[in-house]
Amino acid sequence: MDDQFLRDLKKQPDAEFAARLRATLRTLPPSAVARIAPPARVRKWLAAAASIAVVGFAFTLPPVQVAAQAFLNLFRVTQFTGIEVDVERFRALESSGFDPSSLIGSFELDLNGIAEHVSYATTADAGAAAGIDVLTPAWLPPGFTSAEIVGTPEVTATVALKTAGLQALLDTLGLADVELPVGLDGQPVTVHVSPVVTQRFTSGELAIHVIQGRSPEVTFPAGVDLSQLAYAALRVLGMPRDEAYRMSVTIDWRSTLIVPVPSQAVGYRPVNVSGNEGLLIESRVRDQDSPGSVLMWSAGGQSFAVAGPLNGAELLEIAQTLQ
Amino acid sequence: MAIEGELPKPLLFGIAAAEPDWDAVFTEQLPRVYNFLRYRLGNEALAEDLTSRTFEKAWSARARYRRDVAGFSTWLLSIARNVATDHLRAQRAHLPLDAAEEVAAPGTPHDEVSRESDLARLAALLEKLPLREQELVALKYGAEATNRAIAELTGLSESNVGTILHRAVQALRRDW
Repeated sequence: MDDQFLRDLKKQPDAEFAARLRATLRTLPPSAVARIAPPARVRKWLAAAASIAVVGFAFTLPPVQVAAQAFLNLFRVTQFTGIEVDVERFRALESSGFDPSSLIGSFELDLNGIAEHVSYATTADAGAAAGIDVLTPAWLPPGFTSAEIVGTPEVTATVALKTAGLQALLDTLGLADVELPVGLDGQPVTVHVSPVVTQRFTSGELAIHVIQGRSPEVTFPAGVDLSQLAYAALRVLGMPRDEAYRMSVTIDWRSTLIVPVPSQAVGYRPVNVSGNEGLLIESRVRDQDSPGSVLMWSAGGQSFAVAGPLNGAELLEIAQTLQ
Repeated sequence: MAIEGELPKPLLFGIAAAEPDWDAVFTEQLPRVYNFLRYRLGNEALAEDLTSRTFEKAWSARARYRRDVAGFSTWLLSIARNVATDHLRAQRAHLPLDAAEEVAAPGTPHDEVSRESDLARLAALLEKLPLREQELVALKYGAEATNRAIAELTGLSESNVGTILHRAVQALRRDW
């Protein structure tokens, strides 16, 4: 390939410019680094990390997939906190040619030899299979009737993260302030998701999903600083530096789920569900193509989500009448 | 004298024991970053401005550079890419005019004028290519990055980088 014409265009920087820049750099101190808590020890629970990438995109999926996909990543939490993410940021990342597979060194999925989904005739049957007491709503909006009860079996996924890929992501996003935790590269992160029961109620083309199950167990390599990892994740999601640092060091990452909320599409707020703090994410669009709104909360060792093309008051009513 | 020698020790935490000779790094990397930005933007003065911005960002953040994650050159180029992208996003519409003004700068020696004229030509031709191809050409021929390094920077596969570059160079060669 004759490319000499391209090579010939190079030139050395002007000497005066180089000297001036060198002098300027000598006056610059390194910026302050967000030094976060000491490394965590042994097994850690972090529902947020498993869900953080997925939930943000869930609102771009068809409604039926949304609730299940999101909920599979929501367990083992007692608190939900929403943060705004700019979907355009991720679209730009995608169009930049960044390859998400560069983040992952290996991926193993163990479905424990069971079919992906199983339909049940009753909630009692589904609950027995999942090992939980399945609650059903005493109230639904007019016109909605039970259409399906589906059990999703337990799943264990093991992912090895590549810090080179993560660093490339940070660089692509221009996040020079983020330092990845030591000891993460190539180490397995295991997510064990217990069986989930989804009740689907329909009215014409519209559907409401009531989903519940035990929290998943997320195991991180010993020594990984969860606060530091959270800081990186929050920055990737677009949170300003100061706010990300404050949140990363004040939240208990073993019990709190951060739910990325697409800022243009929805609003979100904390709500009280029968004495438990939940997170309500409301879509501004109500039609069959919209993923609708989602209410999630945790109670009695289980996590719950109600999703559908409803407003917040309706979702809350369904949630508070579960029995 | 190494540049970080000017800095208080407490500010240098995070740099590995066998840390780079920052002075040598500056000397080695400056032409690569500068030429990457020249090829990317087709404008000498702008390339200097954004080279300064790139090094200032990198220097401020160098305590966070980890040699086990990426080579310094790759890290620096990733910052330069972001700086260029930020600039282009805001200024893309003005680039051809800037390049033309650069060619017309008075008092430049003949060979410099010729080279800058060629740079403006290249900028005009690159404008016709997709953004990704423009950037790959700048990384390959301005920064002298290997296909592997470009793949690392962009997230593309190495073979894909080669294919895209081949296509881009052919198109540029045809119109040169």
